[in-house]
Amino acid sequence: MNKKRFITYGFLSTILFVSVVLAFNYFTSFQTLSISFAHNSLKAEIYPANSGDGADELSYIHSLVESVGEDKTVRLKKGTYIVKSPQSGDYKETLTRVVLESSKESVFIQPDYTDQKLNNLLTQESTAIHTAIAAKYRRIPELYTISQGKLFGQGEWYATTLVYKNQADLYQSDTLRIILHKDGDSWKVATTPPEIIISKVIYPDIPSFVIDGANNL
Amino acid sequence: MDIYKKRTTGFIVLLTLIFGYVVVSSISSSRHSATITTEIIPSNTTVKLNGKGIRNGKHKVTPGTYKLLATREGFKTEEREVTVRADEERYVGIALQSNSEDTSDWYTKNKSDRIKAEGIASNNFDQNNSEQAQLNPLFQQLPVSWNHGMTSIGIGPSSRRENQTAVIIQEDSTVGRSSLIKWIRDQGYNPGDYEIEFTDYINPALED
Repeated sequence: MNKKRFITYGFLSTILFVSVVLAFNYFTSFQTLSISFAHNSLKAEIYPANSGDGADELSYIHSLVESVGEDKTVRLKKGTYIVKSPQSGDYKETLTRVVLESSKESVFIQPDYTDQKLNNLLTQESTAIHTAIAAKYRRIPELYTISQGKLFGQGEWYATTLVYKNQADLYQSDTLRIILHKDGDSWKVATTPPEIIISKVIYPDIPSFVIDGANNL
Repeated sequence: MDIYKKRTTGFIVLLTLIFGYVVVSSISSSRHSATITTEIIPSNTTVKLNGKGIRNGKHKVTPGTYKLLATREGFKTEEREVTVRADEERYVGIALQSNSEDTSDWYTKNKSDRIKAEGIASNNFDQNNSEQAQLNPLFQQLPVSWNHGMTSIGIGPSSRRENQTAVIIQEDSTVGRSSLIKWIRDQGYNPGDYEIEFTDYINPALED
């Protein structure tokens, strides 16, 4: 009888132990993700992502995990996700990669403006931008043609090329690049001096996509 | 009865140990380890890593960013931010500099610390070079030169960032410089990821 009881207790203890371990693993396999929006017309869709194979942006299409239409905190299995904010009005589609591991994560959805919106803004800002460049470097309008350039983000970054007017000069006619940032209502030159190539290590505070955009104009 | 009680107790203890092992190993396996090796002189310098006193040597830590503070009377306090990734070993060597007359010739008088200071400088140089090469794989391909050395892409000390390395382009013509930027792109690198200095170029935008 005692032997039977011992076996029963042992069996139950093992079941209990395995259950506790499984429960522990289950409850620790989730993590919290907070999503908030810069504008209330935006929404987000969460998709699982393959890790680090470069196909993340393509692999999410078939398996929506959750759709979020307002600031919200969701609890998801640990792993890598793509948070997609579809294009809405003047805002571009954005994809944000989130890795949920040991700590809570948050995503702030603040998409860039569409190219059309940025082009419209550029028309309005063009004079102020040229004035700011000339104020900083008085010889630029004399020596260079300021190209139309491009606005980035939500119109707060601008990059353009400066094309040397005297193309017969074989030694100094390099095309230069310059980036400006809108600070309040005024434009300020963010890369001083204008350069042939703008470096991310020299300007770590300027978003990479703006510097890449400037270098590829 | 007693023997069953003992066996039951032993069984429960065993289960508890197994459970503890499973929990601890599952937690520790999710937290990769990293190592910070410190070598800070003079001796008797008070060294704190995130506020906790440590001695010179290897310290196992979880990956992350740490604040290292080294203080000793008569020497300038040094504060460093040290970031280590999973499975990475990071060396931090500091030879504190004097800030009082009493210690102004410390490294002259103390031969042992002088030798250590030289070793620290050498280790820091090696680590810096290794980090730069890892961060900038282009550096491993340089220098390259053309036109009997008249045109070249090499590396050298940055004129804008202390103790940092820049890509140095030597070429006096506009077309040549443009070709060399293209060469960097053709190797699969983004020129914007590097600081590039053009030795033969005078920027007209800066002329008065």
